Amino acid sequence: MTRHLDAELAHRFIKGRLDPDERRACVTHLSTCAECRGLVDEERGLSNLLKLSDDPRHPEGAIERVLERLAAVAPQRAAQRRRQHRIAWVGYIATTVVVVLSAWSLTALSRETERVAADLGISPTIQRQVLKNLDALDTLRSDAWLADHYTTAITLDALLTNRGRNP
Amino acid sequence: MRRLTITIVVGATLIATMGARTFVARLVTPVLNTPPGSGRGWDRWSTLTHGERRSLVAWYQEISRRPDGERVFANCRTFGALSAKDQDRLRRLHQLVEQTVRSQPALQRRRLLKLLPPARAHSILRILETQQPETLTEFLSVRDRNE
Repeated sequence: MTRHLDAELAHRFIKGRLDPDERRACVTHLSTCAECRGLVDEERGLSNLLKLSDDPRHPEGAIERVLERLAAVAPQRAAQRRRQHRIAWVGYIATTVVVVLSAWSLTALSRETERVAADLGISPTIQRQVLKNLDALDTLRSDAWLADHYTTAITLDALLTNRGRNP
Repeated sequence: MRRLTITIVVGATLIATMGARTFVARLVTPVLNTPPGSGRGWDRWSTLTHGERRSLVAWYQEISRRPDGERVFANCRTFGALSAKDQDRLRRLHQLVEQTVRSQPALQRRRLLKLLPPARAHSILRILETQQPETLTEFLSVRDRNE
C-alpha cells in the first residue's frame, strides 16, 4: 500500500475490521509512514475515550469518565505540541541564519571585489576579465614569447618533424 | 519536519565551519567572478600579492588591446595544457628562432620580423639549413636525445 490511511481506514484498522490483505498492506505502510502512525495513535486514543461511553457495563457516569480521561490526556497532547513548535522554531532560526549568512557573503564579496579593483586602479569589470583569463596570463607571465612567437615555434616544430620523417 | 530541521541545522553548521571567506570563494564567487563552474580564478587571485596582481593586470591590458588578443590567450591555454616535455621543446625552438634572427644582418632581420609567423618559420629553417647547418644538426640531436 502506498497511499496514506484516512480516518475511516485507521478506525477500521484499530477495530480489527480489515480483511487480511488490507491489514497486511496497512501494517507495511505504517512501518514506513510516521504521519499515518500518528493518525492511528490518535484514532486509538479517541476510540478508547469513546469506548467508555459505549460500554454497557458502565452506563452510569460514563461522561464523567470521558472527561476525566480527557483531562489526563490533555497535558500530554499539549507537551507534544510544544515540542513540535520548538522543533519548528529551531528550523526557522536555522533558515534565517543561512539566509543572513548568504546575504552577508554576497555583500562581503561585492565589497572585496571592489576593494581589490580600486587598489589596482581598475574597474571591477576589468578585474573580472583578468580573472577569466588568469590561467592564460599566468602562462604568459612565465613564457612571454608566447604572445608573439608561439605560431612561429609550432610551425618550425612541425617543419622539423616533417624534415625528420622525410630527410 | 524533523528531517528538514536536521538538514537545515547541518547546512548552517557546515557554512559556519567553512568560514565566510571560503564560503565566498567556493560557492559564491564562481557565479559572479569566474567562468561558470569554477572557483579557481578567485582562489588563485586571492593568494597573489599586490605586485603580482598588477603584473597580471598589465599583461591583460596589453594583450587585450591587440586585435589578436583572444588568439594569444587561446595559444597560452593550449601551451599550458601541453606536457612539460613538449613545453620545453617549444621553448628551445623559440630560443633557436631568436638566436637565428639575431645572427642576421639588420636588413634581413627586419625583413624576417615583418613576415607572418608561418612564413617566418619557413625562412628561418632555410637560413638554418644554408647558413648554420651545424646549429640545426646539434639542435636536432639534442631534441632526439630528449625524446
